[in-house]
Parts: sequence; C-alpha cells; structure tokens
Amino acid sequence: MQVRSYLLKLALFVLPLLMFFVYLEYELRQIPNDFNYKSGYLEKHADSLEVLILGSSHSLSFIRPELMKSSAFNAASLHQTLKFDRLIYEKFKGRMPELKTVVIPISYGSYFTSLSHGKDKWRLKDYKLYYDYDEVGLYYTLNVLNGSTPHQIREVLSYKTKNEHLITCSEKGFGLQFSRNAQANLEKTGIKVAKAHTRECSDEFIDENVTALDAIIKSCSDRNINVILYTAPAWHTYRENIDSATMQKTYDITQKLIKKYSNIKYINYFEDSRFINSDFRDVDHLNENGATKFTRIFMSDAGIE
Amino acid sequence: MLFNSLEFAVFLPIVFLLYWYVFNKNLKLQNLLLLVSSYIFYGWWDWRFLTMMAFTTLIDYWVGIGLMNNNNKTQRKVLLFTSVILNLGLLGFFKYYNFFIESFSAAFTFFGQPFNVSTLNIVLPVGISFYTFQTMSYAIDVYQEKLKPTKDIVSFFSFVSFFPQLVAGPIERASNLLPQFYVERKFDMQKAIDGSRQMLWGLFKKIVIADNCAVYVNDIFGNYEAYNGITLLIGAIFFTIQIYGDFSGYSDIAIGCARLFGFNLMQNFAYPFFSRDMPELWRRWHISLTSWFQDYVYFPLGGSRGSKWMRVRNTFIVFILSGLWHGANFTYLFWGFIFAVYLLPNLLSDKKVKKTKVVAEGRMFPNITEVFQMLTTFILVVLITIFFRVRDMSEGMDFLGEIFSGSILALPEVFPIKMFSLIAIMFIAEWLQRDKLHALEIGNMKIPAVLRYSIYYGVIAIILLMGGSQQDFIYFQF
Repeated sequence: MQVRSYLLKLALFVLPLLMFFVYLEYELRQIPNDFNYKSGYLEKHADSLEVLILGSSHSLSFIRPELMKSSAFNAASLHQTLKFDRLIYEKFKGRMPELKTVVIPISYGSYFTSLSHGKDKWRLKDYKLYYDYDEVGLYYTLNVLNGSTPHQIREVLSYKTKNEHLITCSEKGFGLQFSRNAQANLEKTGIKVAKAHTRECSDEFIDENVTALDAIIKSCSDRNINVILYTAPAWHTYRENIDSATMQKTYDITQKLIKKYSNIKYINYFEDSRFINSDFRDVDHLNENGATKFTRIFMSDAGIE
Repeated sequence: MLFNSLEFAVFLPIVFLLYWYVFNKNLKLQNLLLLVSSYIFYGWWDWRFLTMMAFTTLIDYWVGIGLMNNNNKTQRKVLLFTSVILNLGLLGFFKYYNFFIESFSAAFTFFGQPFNVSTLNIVLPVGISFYTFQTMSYAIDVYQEKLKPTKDIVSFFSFVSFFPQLVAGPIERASNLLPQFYVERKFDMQKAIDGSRQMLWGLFKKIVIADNCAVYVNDIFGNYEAYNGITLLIGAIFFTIQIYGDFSGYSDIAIGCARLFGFNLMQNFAYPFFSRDMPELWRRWHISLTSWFQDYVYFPLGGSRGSKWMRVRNTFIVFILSGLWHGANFTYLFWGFIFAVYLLPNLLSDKKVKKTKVVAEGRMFPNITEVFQMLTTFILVVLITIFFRVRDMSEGMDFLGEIFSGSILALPEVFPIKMFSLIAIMFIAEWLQRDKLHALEIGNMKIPAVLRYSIYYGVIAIILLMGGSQQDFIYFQF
C-alpha cells in the first residue's frame, strides 16, 4: 500500500516534467534546420546534381557551390565522418544520373575519428532522423535526449517569438554562419586546437573510415564518376602542433587509394601559402572570403566548372 | 551503467517494481533479484569482468566458511592470507602491474643499467578497488571474530555486488550491510521519499557542479602552459570542487537509491569543505575509505597508542597507501605523502582538540577564526589536489610553480561568473543543512508544502537548464 502511494506521489511529481519534454520534442521538430534542409534539397534536386560535396567543416566552410556553373550541392556537416559521407552518397546514388564529381576533404582526423564515439555522438540523431541511419536505436530518435536542454529551450523560444530557424547554410549548402564567426587568435589557439584534435584521433577507427571511403570511390568508379580528394589549408600554428606521424599516415592511406583507383584526383592545400591570415576564421577553417578564394582555386585545380 | 544515464532511468524503476511487487513475499528471491540486477548493472560496462568479481566473491565466501569450521590458528591464518593475497594480487595486477614494471625499468636505467621491459595493455575493471576492499574486509572481520561468517551465498554475493554502491562506494563493512540482507525489508515511505531527495541532490552535484566544472578543468589542465598563475589556481579550485561534486554526488545517489530498497548505507561525505583542520577534513571526506584504512591498517600498526613517532610513521603509511589505492602513479603517492605532512602539526602537538561537531553549531554564521581555518584548510586541499589531475610529477610541479609565480597577481584569463554562482548555491544549501545527512533533507522541516515543492522543482530546473554535458564519474577509474 505504501509502495503504491509512493509511486503515485512520484508519478504526480514527474508528470509535469514528462509533459514538458514531450512538448519540447514536438516544438524542436517544427524548427527547420540544416539537416532537414539538406536532406530535403537532395530529395528534390538529386536528379540534376552534377557535383556532390561531402565531408566535415573542412568542406562545409571551404567550398561554395554557388560559384560553380555546374549543378553542385554542399552536403557536408560539422564533424561528418567518412562513414556518414557514405550514408548520404548511398542513399541518393541511384537518383543522381547526372553526377560527374564527388568531392571529399581528407583532413588530419579523417581516418582516425568516429562519430559513434566521443563527445559528438549526440549528432547521430540527425543522421537517424533525416538520413535513415539505422545502426542506432530509439534513443537517437529524440532530440531532447541528444542535446543540451537549456540550448534547446532557447532554440524553441527564438523560433516561436522571432521566427529564427536553425538553417545556417546557404541555398546550396555552404556553411554561411560558420564561416562568418569572428576570427580566433591564430597564433595563440593553434596548439590548443591541434592538441584537442590529436586527442580525438585513434587508430581503431581507420578501418571504419577507409572502408567507407573505399566504398564511395569504388561505386563512383563503377559509374564513371570522378572523386576529388583534397586536404584543406591550415594555419602554421596548427600544422606545427599536430602529430606528424598521424598526418603522414593520412597521406599514406590516401596514396594507397590513389594507386588502387584511377578515378581519384588528390590535391593537397595543407601548407598552401596562398592562404594568408585574413583568409582564416580559425586555425583550420577559412572565413567567407577565404572560402571564395579557395573555391576558385579548387575549381581550377579540380577541373570543375 | 551510469546513474545519470537513460539506461539507469529505465533500469531502476523496473528493479524497484519487481522488488516490491513481484518478489516482495520471499526474502531469498528478493536478494536473488538484487544479485541479478547488480550483475546486469555491472555487466553493462563490460560483461567480461563479471567472472572476476564472481571469483573474488566466491573466494571470500569460501574463506568465511573455512574460518567458521576451523579453530587451528595456523590454518586460519593461511585462509586469511589466501583471501588477502588473492584480492590484492588481482588488484595489483590490474591496477599496478604496468606502474611497477615501468618504475623498475626507470630505476635500472637511472643506475646505468638500461632495462627494457614490455608493459601489458591492461583494462582496469570498473570499481575493482571498491569491491575488493569490501570483500576483503569481510574475510578480515571473520578472521578477527568480529563477524559471524555467512552460509547464505546469495546474500553474500548480493552484499559484494549491491548495485547502488558497487562501483564507487561507499565501501561498506560487512557488519553493517550484510545483516541487512538477512532480514525482511519493509517499504518505508518516509525513507524512500528522503532517499529520492538525496538522489536528486546527488544528481545536482554531479550534473550541475561536477560536469560544468569539468569543462573549465579540462581546458585549464589540458593547456596549463598557456595560462597564468591565477587562472591555474581557479582551475585547481574547480577541479577540487569537481571531485567533490562528482564523488559526493555519486555517494548521495548510491545512499538514496539503497534507501528505496530498504537498505541503509554509511555516510561517505559530511560537508568536508566546512572543516577547520586536516584531521576534521579526513573525518568528513570519503569516510568509508578513511575508516577502512583506520581499522585495517592504522590500528593493526599500533594506531596512536605508541609514541609520537609511531603515530607519525603509521599516519604516513596509511596516507601513502591511500594515495596508492587511488592509482598507480607517483602523483597519487605524492598526494598521500603531502596529506600526511599536512597532518604533522596535529600529530606532533600535545594539545588535541578533536573537532567532531559541525562548525558554528547553533549559529547561522561562522566567526572570523572559523572562516580563516576553513579557508586555509580548503586552499591546502586545492594545492595538493592538483596532483590528482596532472599526468606526472613534473607537470604538477610546473603547474604549482606558475601558481606561486608573479602571475598569481594578474587578471584571470578564465573567470566564469555562472560557474561561481552555481558553486555558491551548492555551498549555501550545504551550509544551511550542515547538521543533516544531505542538503535536501527538508521533509521534517516546518515549511509549507508549496515551498518544499518549489525547492524540488527549482533544483530540477537548474539541472535541466544549467547541467553540463555528461561525464563519467571520476572515481570509476579507481
């Protein structure tokens, strides 16, 4: 009897909290965001797409499809690993008859990080919700369980009161807001960022990433699609403080793939001196002007119109 | 399974309902349910280590039975040593093997004899130090005839693996916890409600205080070369508070959770930062470990019965062992050593005033002397706790060196007002409730229900709105 009375009290106490979370989840799903925008764009325009840009922030804030004459779209997202590049490519490959080029950045951590491990695991819900990623369970279908509640409350309030949505990219998927952030101190933050990236790297994820990249390239090869791999420019304080052995391993793995397939072109901008202080937003990302400059150079090198 | 995870939020109600609704008629079945639940709880991390925990438990169960049936002194000693050697052997292998191998190698190299050794890639089983000490204390108590051995294998296995306190304590004594498995448990509404409050307070300390502090601590300790002395001091203060929030938070959740099942666990933290001197701090911080070392190391060594120097020696032994218990690194040994040094003035002094009562008892505010004493104790703890976080001694010395440099007078490069405010909320609540078991023990206070519920929802609101991102409990690594 006492147990029942305790449970009743507890249920009454918890009920308002549960109702609040159900409401919060409902409202969060009403807000347009980068993921539903990008997945929606691909659903609509896949049949005419000629250039598909995949990858992490190293393509999100580097390549501006708006500057290309070809029909191009930037489907990159922050921290998107090669496994999820493959997920997006596989989902739409049968619906892209015009596709000629797939662009993928190969960065310092590309072969050594996994979204399913570490602090960015919560991002899996976006792939589950908008790209039908099925390797994770029910937990990753709920926004409220995969994000900071205060942040989510602020997002809902901003959307309800000021109609501020969460789409931060341009019409063609370029990361506008990300590249517009104020410039970080490039000299001071290099060590910190490099160390943080090094901490995230682990050899145990090489298989996962190389398998994914290999599968994309093989599929592209079968369909006569070119794959352009590139390493984005980075500021010297970052370059000097990363683990050189890991970077060398990155180059070696890429070279192996280049030898294996004939449809790959690799361009290395990592130490490219054409990118100067005013082009950078932080030690490993460009700002909007830097991205415009990079896109033009890249288009010329990659032979994309 | 983490207490602050969705898995636990599903696991706990299921076990609770089965415990009180399905298995409530039969004590043995109830204990069996706790045992199975505890193994599921532990196996959630890594099921492979379940066999090791079962093996340790079985050994001590047999040792207990062996001691019960044996009056021969030598044979009894052999049985006790079997338990101690096996327990410490497993603990030593998993926790200290690489440390000792590397230390030997370094010593040989230092004396001009390069000695190459290969270390092993050993995964430390979660909570091994906690359950090993718990089960070992059973064998010692039975050997010393302070406790009757049990034949009830289910109760014994449940005692060792009891999920609320399995992975990070409190390290329970068999004499307190084991008998609770023998008697019928009746659901006590008030106990369960207060247990729920204690869990809520524990979650606040973990999610709001510890997890938020972790962000600044990780940044400052991870990039200590880039920060000035005052910022490093702030980092060290945050880390000390992070450990407190993390560990005492875990203990509160464990104690509160056990109360939902009708069990009473010992208090593990009693507002240690309101201590006026080091001996008081150690009576209030990680009480279950301190008392374990006191009973099984300090007293057998002679305790404080002998000369002053015996007391000093015994204290140093206890604190160095305590440092080693925390981890296989010279930083932990140094941490233990310095704490023993901190205790020296008290050990050598003839005037002993044991501060057993809470500070400023019967008063709202402490006097100037008490404030000074508490601040001094706190700062001393902060300075040595740095060695709990750094990777090695040289990093610790660099860190400390910068704090004691001129840059201590510079402006802090990190000064999060929000974090300081949250810490202030915790300390104010704990100060007001410092004579209670936990800060949310407000059930018996004469305050309107509306205010009481406002406090509960207020704490929940702070957890939801200001909680940090989920971090592992620090003490799991021990």
